[in-house]
Amino acid sequence: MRKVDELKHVSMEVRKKLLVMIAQAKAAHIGSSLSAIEIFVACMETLQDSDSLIVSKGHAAAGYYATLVEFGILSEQDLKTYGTNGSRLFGHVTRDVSLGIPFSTGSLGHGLPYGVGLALGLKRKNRAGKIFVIASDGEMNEGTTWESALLANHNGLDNLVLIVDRNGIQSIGDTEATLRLEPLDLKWRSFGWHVEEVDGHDLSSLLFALRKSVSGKPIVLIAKTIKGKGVSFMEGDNLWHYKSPNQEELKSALDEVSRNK
Amino acid sequence: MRNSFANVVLEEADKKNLLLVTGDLGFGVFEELQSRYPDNFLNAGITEQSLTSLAAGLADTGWVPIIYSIANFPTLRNLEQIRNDIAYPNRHVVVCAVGAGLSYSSLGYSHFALEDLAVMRSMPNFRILSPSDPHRAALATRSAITENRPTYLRLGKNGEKDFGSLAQAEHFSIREISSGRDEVAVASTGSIGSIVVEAIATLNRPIAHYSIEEVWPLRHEILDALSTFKSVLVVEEHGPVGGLFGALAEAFQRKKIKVNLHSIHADVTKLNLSGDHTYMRDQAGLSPQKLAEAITLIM
Repeated sequence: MRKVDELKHVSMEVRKKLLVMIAQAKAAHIGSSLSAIEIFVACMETLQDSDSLIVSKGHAAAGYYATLVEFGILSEQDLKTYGTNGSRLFGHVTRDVSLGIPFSTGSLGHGLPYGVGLALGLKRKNRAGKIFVIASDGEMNEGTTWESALLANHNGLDNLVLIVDRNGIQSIGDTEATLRLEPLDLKWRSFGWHVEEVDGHDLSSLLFALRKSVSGKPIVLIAKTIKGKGVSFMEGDNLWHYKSPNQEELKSALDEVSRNK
Repeated sequence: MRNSFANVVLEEADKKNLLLVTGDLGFGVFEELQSRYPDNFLNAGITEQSLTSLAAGLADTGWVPIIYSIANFPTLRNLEQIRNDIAYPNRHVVVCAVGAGLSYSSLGYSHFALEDLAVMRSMPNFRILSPSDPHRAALATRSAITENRPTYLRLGKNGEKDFGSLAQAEHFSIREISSGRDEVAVASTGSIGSIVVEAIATLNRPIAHYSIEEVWPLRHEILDALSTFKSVLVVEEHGPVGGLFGALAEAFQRKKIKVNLHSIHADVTKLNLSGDHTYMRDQAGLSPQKLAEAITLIM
């Protein structure tokens, strides 16, 4: 297990790679990736061979791919292909078993029920392994999220951990203005899950919470994050759900990310 | 057909790592499976969408999941889950619907499966089995759990009788129920085949009748058998779009094979009054009399 300082550095490198990728590809969803960087890094650091990670917020693919480079699963060369013809990297997370990506997402609300299936499948075979699912808070709108909440609780899936990237903003606007989620912790608790609220940019809290297990109960970590985290002019601004930075913006973003070690 | 399916699942559950996932349907059907092999059964509640993605997860942990529900529930309600989580990634999941076509007659169009063939034919990698009687339903179930690819198993209801010869045909995909002397044949799929048998019996002349047990993808033996006729009347308990008629028309056109295809399907605009299965088939234009008239017309 690496030291938190080292992982902070990894997170910074991921952000830099992400910014360059998105700018080069003129792609969208940079804010959704930036809010989830520490979650990606902490999950990858926690993951054991028998575990699986499912990125249900498939639109944060770029941030996930950049993380995979820092963990030696993708190459820098692979990353350069992002957004070009012939790339194996799609704009939403796409199944590639050789990269340890078991499941395609992009349509919201698919990752958690799939994770429930993995967790149940392992349990019924008495096999070890933990299933981590990273979901957006927008996905809390989906009916399948709450169907899965029932299924995981009813089947006692204590090998399942859901991490909600609670950045508070979905496609068009604030989550609370769009379709109110709060009190989100109480909702999960009433569905029988063990709930932890963590600072989603604090690596030590995330690493600690990800290692928890509660007998008979699935766990949800509500990770409070900031959309666009790390680049002040992107933070909390939903424009960056869609826009990609121009050269000037990219330079200023990279400068800021590099300064905040 | 339902009991043939359930018996095969019970027999193979333990040996083949089956996990039957029901969307809270099948009262009185799976009790023995549940009590003898509790790990091979899951009632996931009424969660058609989630249980489909869940089945994908089960497939990735070494199970052969069978999603079970009735009529259109396991195909239309959860279509995107089927597409993204089963079809494109080519996972071995069996989707089983009991209640093909108008089987659930008096329950209304919420329970009619008249678009499922069209929709499921368009799913990448999927195979569609549509057996004609309980004997064939058992064979189809075995095939679905053995062949390592996504399969849609379209079953009738319960209580159908076996018809035609029980002898194993050369191919599972097509069975010859009767032969004729004319250049005309009838091709049916599913349990409506027994109505075709009734219709032919009223005509006092032998007429070739084939049942297509594997509707998609169409195997060459099906095209080979049917292309020896000048005209083929396709009979299906399905809507007008995208079923067996559509599949054959596309295949013959692509291969530039000249066969005059005629279609008898459920007329979905005529299902305004409630009744039993026979009544609903009559309303939809699928009575033995209507079929006999259609066959005579083509001759």
